[in-house]
Amino acid sequence: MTRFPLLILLFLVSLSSLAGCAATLQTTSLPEGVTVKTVAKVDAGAPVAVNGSGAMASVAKGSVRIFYAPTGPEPAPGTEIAKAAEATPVIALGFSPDGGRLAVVLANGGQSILRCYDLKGTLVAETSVPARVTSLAWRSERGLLTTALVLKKYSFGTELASFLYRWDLKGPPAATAIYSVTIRPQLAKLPEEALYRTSSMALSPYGDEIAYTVLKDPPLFSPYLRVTLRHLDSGAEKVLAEIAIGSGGPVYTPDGESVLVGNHGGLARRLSLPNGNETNAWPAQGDRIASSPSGSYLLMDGRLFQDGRVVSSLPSDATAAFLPDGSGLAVASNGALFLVTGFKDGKAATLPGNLERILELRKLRMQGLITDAEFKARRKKVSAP
Amino acid sequence: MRGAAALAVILGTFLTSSIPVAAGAEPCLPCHLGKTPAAVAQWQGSAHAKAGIGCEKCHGTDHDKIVRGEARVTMKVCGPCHQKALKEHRASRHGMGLHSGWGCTRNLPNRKKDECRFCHQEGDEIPRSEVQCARFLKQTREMGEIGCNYCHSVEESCDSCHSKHMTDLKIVRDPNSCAKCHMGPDHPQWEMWQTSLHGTLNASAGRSAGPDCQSCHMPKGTHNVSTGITMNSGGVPYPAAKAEAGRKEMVQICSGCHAPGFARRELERGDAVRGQSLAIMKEAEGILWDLNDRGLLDPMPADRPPHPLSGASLVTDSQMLYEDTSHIERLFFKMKKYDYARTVKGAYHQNPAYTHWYGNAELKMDLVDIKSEASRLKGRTKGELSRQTPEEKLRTLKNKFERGALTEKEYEAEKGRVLDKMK
Repeated sequence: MTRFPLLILLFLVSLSSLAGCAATLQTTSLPEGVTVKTVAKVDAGAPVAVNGSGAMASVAKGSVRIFYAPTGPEPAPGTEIAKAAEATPVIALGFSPDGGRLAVVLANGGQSILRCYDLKGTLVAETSVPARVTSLAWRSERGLLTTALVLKKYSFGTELASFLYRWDLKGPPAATAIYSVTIRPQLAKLPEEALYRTSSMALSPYGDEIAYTVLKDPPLFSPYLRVTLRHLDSGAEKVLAEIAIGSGGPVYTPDGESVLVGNHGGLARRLSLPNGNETNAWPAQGDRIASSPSGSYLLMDGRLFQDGRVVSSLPSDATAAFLPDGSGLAVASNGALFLVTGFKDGKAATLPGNLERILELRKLRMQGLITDAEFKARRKKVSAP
Repeated sequence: MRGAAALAVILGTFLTSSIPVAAGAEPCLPCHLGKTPAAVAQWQGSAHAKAGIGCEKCHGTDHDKIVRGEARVTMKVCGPCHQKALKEHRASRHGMGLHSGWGCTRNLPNRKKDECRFCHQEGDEIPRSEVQCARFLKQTREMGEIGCNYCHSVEESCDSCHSKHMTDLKIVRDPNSCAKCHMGPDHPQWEMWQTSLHGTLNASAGRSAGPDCQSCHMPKGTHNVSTGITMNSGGVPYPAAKAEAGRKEMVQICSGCHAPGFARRELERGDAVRGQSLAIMKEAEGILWDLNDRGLLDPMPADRPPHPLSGASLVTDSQMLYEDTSHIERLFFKMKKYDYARTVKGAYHQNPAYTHWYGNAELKMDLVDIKSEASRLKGRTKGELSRQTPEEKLRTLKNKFERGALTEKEYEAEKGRVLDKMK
């Protein structure tokens, strides 16, 4: 007697999966005018990228796919761009500035494969680096930056060597060693994936500087992450802040004059550049941070802030990317990709005029050849009509 | 071969039956009489053998470990019995981290895995010594072992002076035992003592008329060889309070033969030579830094292999290198490490030739060479200097400000002028 209803139930479950039964994005109440569309099924924990034309990239069944906003109620199947082997999971995705190319990073043990595709799935370039890539950024249409880590285990601890790779999509990437630290055995017991997550990097909107994190494990104090600014051409560096392990960021604000960092267990903060003075704070741990193009919206640990106020909450496991026009978010959560639209973002920040001269002044400031006050005075003079 | 082995066994039986054998030595002697006869003979004649200290007391019982070179007889082995000597040694320059202060070698090619033990011990989270030596880090392993360790192992090895199996104090009371290290171009104390009045009298009339190294630097048999010293090993004077305490000690030592006033005056004359020589050296050092400020060293630190400790920086302190530098830095290296050292140490050792001809004259000629080389470098780029970019000009100004060649006010004014001219 009990077997018959069970069969019906199994049949209904199978039917719903064949029909592509859409998952729903668990949110608190959404602001007026904001809507959610289910785009596609994706792999749990998959990275997400979105370009200016609304193309969204994520990973479904191990393959990188590009999806577009569905026109009907059914999720889109998406275009398969790259099929990744099971042993080489996709760890990062990123569209080029004009959106015409997609960078894909595959993990291959402690090494990484970098690939560049066009939107039809044609492989434009491929290379590999002898380190695990931890962050990815396009510096131009023909230039990729990545940070990567090499772990070396010793009896007395583990060495984490950080590298910056610059790839012109032609030759092999140029590597620059940026930091090396040996952590004590207690901390080295963390899973390798957790150690890789201690390294992250963001590229300034000016394209001339990065902010990156490295793990520090001083003998008499608790371990922490150090946030450092690095001028890409001169190599000049400046330590910006020290934050708790597990904190998100760094993320540049759209004007390029501040950096957002989390503080695992504390307040997420905005730090002005280059001195690291705190200029704003939010009641969020800031383990995962994203900013809209104007900076009006911030997504921190799944909580959506608009002008400093929480307006909605997404699931805490969600990975998200703001649409380049600021009108919404592409969100991957619970095995599905969603498009959240209807945001009223302000005008996207633009770089100031006389950019060449300002980049020169920024370079002088980062090298400590002029003070911040001298930089600001000269920038004002340069920007004056 | 069989005959030789039989002879060794017979000899061993004879020797072991004719002298008292220390507990722990019996199992080693039959083999080692044949394999390391000199070591056995030296030990048999030592105070250790007479006191019943056998092989295993110092070497342990793990033969495989001994063969692998992992059971070396360091001061940790000798210390428990020779505590006073160890304490004095640790307080001296000999014991201040010369050996374990190389700097971490783990990223060097061809490193030896067991080198870690020089700085780290089981359970260490940080190295035990913070002293590092850039010149060691540039060496090959073989060169480091012979050219560095043969002397710098004195920090951890009593046998550096005492020899491995002999305990006869006449070995270490002979100034020749110091000569192994305290000679050569950078610190020829042995040569300058030998040819000083103290040394020549020692040779002709004996120790009572001419004191030797041990008379002045190890008074009453102390292992603190830094007694009475008023400057660091690079010839930089100690701070006044520390120097005055050292001076009192040395005057007291000299007063064993001389009037205290005479001794103090002689030492103060050495101080004066040191001060005059330091001024000459500082003038040369200033020339190097000015060239570095202007980016005129050839090659500049950024354009050559990085300094093992300071990276792409000009280094003129005790960590300066004699390789991978510019020519003018190499001239300064000779000036500082050889000629300055010879002048100053020659003066304190009362040696006229080392103070003057091998020291002071060379020092002054070095300055001539350095000034000439600086003129050449400046002349070569005379036209280019005016074509410096604003960034290069600002860097020169920053370098000058940071080393105190410009006041804050001058620096700001100069920067303003450069920024105003930027297009």
